[in-house]
Parts: sequence; structure tokens; C-alpha cells
Amino acid sequence: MSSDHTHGHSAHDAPPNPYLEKHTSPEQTAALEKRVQALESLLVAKGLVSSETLDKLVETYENDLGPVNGAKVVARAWVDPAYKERLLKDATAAIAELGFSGLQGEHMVVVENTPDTHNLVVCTLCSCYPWPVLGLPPAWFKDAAYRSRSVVDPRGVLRDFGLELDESTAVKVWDSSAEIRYMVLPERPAGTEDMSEEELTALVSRDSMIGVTRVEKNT
Amino acid sequence: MESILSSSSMKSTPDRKISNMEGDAALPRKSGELVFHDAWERRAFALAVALCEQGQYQWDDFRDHLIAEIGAADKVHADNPDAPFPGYYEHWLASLEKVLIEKGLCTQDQLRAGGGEVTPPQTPPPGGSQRPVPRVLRPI
Repeated sequence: MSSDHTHGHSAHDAPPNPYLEKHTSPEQTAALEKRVQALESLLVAKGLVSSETLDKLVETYENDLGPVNGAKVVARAWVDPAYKERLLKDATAAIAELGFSGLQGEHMVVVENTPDTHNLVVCTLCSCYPWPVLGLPPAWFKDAAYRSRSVVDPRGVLRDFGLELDESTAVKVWDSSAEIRYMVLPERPAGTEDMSEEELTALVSRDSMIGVTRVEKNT
Repeated sequence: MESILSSSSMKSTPDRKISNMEGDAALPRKSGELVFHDAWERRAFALAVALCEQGQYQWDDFRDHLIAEIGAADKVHADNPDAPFPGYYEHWLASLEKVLIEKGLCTQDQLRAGGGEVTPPQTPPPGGSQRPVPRVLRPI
């Protein structure tokens, strides 16, 4: 367990990907636009694709990986104590058990909320986020204000999210990095003993797995 | 969720083989979000995925070309740092054109008419898994 937080910004979206920058000049871009347009027309004319399905398809991939994967992990941990134990011991492996992977070398660590301890996840330097389980990060997660205030005034941040913690509840802040991505295992709300795993999954919000809210029975 | 791909309808969930590609072929992402710089990149992405989902080719057929394209460009760049460094979706588009020809879905002439740049066909061995030949980008 290293508490070394000296990682530089470049380490955060590691491995560095040369394709994140644009490489084409305006002229090249225009030529490529034409080339793809012609290809699409050709394939549409051949009846191989329809322009409408193409739009939908990109959306599917762009809005991929909603927080539902993480919610399934949480619900499983609530109903299966042995799974929960594995999850807290080796989250990467336990999450992979459910078929969710796609992280590139980063490790997942799941931290458990209890009546005594509330956990909050931040990436102080940029926006490292366990996207294979939580989907795309919310805009505020990347916000400089959230990133800095979570460390100096976590209770204040939680209050902004409508979560008033008891003074006796300790708050732990976890700084995600290129190597380690944290996710919170929220407390199972009271009164959900009779709910199925599937029903429980529906209760688990993205925000609760970042740690800015609790899971409520009626949401 | 073991359903067989129904012939006409598109899948509403992403294919993990595609969205979770690893290594050099991994989709460019920033904090999980796919990175597209221009509209044509989005379009090229969709075309390759749609044709695969409709069973026109296996994803690995496409991916093998993509890896070869990227590898060839990296090599050219290593030998000559001043060589142009094409973007990910340029490799993607070139791979798509190659797999289309390979599978007989388009002809070279059709692609040329649309402005595509295609290397002469290296007649693929029938049914064989051909080791992609890196194309020479530019004689030095």
C-alpha cells in the first residue's frame, strides 16, 4: 500500500496514447471526410448498411459502459458475503469474475462504507476514473473545484451533494491514479432485505459508488 | 444474454471485443470517453462496426489489419521521425478498405472512385489466415 501521490499528470491517463491528438491538417481532414462519405454511400447503395443505424451505433459505443456494471458489483457484494470478501481483497479479480474488464493495467480497489467510515473518491490531478465499471465520469468529477475541495473540505463537498454526515463518521478520501482506481462499496440501505439482487442493482447510483451520496431505498 | 445475433437488428450493447481492444489497437479514449476528432472518424468507426455486427466479417479480420497498419506506420516512423504520423482512424479507414476488398464487398475501383487509396491486392490465399503485408508508405 503506497501512499505516494507524486504522480505527474502525464502518468494519469497512462499509457500515453499518441492518438489522442489530432494529426490531420484541414486539407487532409476534408479529403478524409470525402473519402468516408463516398465509402458510406457505396455501402448504403449496396444495401450493406443504413445511415440511420450508423448514427445509433456510434451512440451505443459513446454512451457505453454506464454505471450499471458497478451497480451489479455492489449488489452482488450485498447479497453474497463471500463475493464481498473477494471484492475487498482483490477488486480487479472480483470485478472480472462478473465479466467486466477493459482496464489497461490499472488496478481496482474497492473501499467499503460502514457506519463509522465514509469513503470518497477523487482524482486530484485530472480525472482518473474506473470507467469500465462506472461508465463515463460526470463533468463535476473533472472539475477543478471538486478535485481540490474534496481533499480540504470533504464534508463540505458531501453537504453540497445533500449528504450530511454525522460528526462521528470518519471521512476517507481516496485519490485515484493511473495505477489504482477506487470505487466505493456503499452501505446497503435498511429495509431492502427482501429485495432481489436485480432490484438492488437498480438502487445503486453512480454517485454512491464515487462516494458523494448514499444509496437510498427510494430513488 | 446469450442471444444469437438477430439478422436485421443492431445490437444495443457494445461488443466487448471491439470496445475493449487492448494494446496498440485499443480505441483512443480519454477517461473512458471515445476520442473522435472529426465527423469522418465517427463515421468510419460506425461503418467498420456495423459491417462486423451484420456478419460481413469477423472482428478479428478487421483487427488484424488494424494492428498491421499501426505496426507498419510505427516502423516507418521509427526509421524516419520526420515521416507523417497518421491518426488512429486513418489506420482504421485503411483497414476497413482492405477488409472490404478481402471479403469481396467492394472492388478496388469502387474505392478509388471514392478517393480511397488502396494498395494493389495481395491475393489472399483462399480461406487461409494471411499474414498481413505491411505496405510501403513512401519510398525514401
